[in-house]
Amino acid sequence: MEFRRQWTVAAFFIPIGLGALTTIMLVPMALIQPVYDFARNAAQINLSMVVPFAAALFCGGIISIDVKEGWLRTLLIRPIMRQQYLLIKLAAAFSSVVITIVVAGVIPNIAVGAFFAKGVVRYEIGPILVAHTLFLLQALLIIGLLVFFSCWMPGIFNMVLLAAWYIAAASIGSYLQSRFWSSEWLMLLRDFLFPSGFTSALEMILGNAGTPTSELAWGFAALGFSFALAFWSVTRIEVDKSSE
Amino acid sequence: MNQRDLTYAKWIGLISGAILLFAAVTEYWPASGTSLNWLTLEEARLEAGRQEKPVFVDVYADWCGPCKQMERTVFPADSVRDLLSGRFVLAKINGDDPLTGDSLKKQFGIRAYPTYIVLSPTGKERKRRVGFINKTSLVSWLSDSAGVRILSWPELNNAAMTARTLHRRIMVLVLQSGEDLEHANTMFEGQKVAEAIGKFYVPTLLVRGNSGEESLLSQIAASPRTQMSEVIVLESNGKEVGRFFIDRQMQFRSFALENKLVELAKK
Repeated sequence: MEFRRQWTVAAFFIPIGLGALTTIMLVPMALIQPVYDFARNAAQINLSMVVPFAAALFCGGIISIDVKEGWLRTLLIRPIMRQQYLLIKLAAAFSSVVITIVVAGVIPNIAVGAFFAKGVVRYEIGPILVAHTLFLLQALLIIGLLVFFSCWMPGIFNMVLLAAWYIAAASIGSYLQSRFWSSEWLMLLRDFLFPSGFTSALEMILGNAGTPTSELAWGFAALGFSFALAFWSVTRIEVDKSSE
Repeated sequence: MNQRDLTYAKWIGLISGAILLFAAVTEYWPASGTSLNWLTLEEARLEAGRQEKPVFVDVYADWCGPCKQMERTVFPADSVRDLLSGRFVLAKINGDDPLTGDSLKKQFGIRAYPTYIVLSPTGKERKRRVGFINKTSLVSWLSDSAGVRILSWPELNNAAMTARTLHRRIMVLVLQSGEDLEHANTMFEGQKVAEAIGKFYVPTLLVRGNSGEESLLSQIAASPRTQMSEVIVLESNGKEVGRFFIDRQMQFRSFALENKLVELAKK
């Protein structure tokens, strides 16, 4: 039911619109690249666009809307734990993001590789599977963060906050890198401005740069903390006390 | 039933804390392996010839921030250290050294710090990168042996012999430094340009700064160092047919390069 509630008529345009955009971005790449590398292009398209957009559009306000419309109160009249409610919300949001990644990230990539690539098309199943697993983990991380925000503020602010965080982390990171390269502590701080363990791990795997043990560990730790915060925050929401 | 039960949050938080600790230990624990063995360029060249390994040259300056950052954060990383110490002979050049700095900077055409150069065991430049490189990009760059196919073009003497046998002209591509290799490779491996070269020429490559290639450059009267790469077309007996610089138009429009090559082939 949660899944059905997410797929309003307007929501159907999200994967289709994103798919059109990714196709527009992929076609010029296919025309100029001597080797059309499916996994690398998938990484570029999904991590920079599809995953954050899909997560933001499906999960912005995922909890706050239920609170505002009284749906959470209705649910909590029944013998349901808040954690169970959140698990169902997370599963529904994740399924929607997976569908969007398939429609907007995978299908256009295959189609452009098949019909537009001028050079050799490289489909290597290992890197493709690893890349897509890491997109899904990154998607879960962003969903966890948005659910956490959504417990405390209205929907639109979730997306604004996430976008502001992205931009601020990138700009502060480059400022620190250029001005304070000699400070070990500030350089360490730069690594923690935005959780990027899964994306760094993907870069390492696609670049044949060794086993990304610590990068994956950072990614899983960030994912776990975002979920723990979300689970904690959902118990803090105040609805009509008489319903519980 | 407690609707505000926090079991999941507590367990997930605990497990995440443990993973975080593990990540911190693997990332920031001091490296236990051996430190890198940096030699002078001359020592490295001798050692590379003996071991038949390529040379990784780090051109740095004492005042250069990114050089120090590379030294502190990138070179000690396990993946970088293993790759560098296993596959390369390592050389460091201080660009500000009062005795050797200037001549080496001139020889390699160093314009900024840090500059990283990979030389073949015989001293020919193979790759070059300028500026800070993170560990992923550095390992990826050093591991990537594919791609620069123009490096497999024959040397000038062999090219001359082949050209005599096949009754073709010699196309000498003169690069100002190894930094231009990958870009030139993209241009010259384009389908139409590669076809034109395959049909009319025997191609060869000279890179300024490579040991032994300065004399060849003066032999074919290559133009003095500029920002642009140069193409010199010679008859198989060494007589010049024509030359041109690869300008901006050719860099972005491969047909301009192809037309010029065809024009000189028919001259």
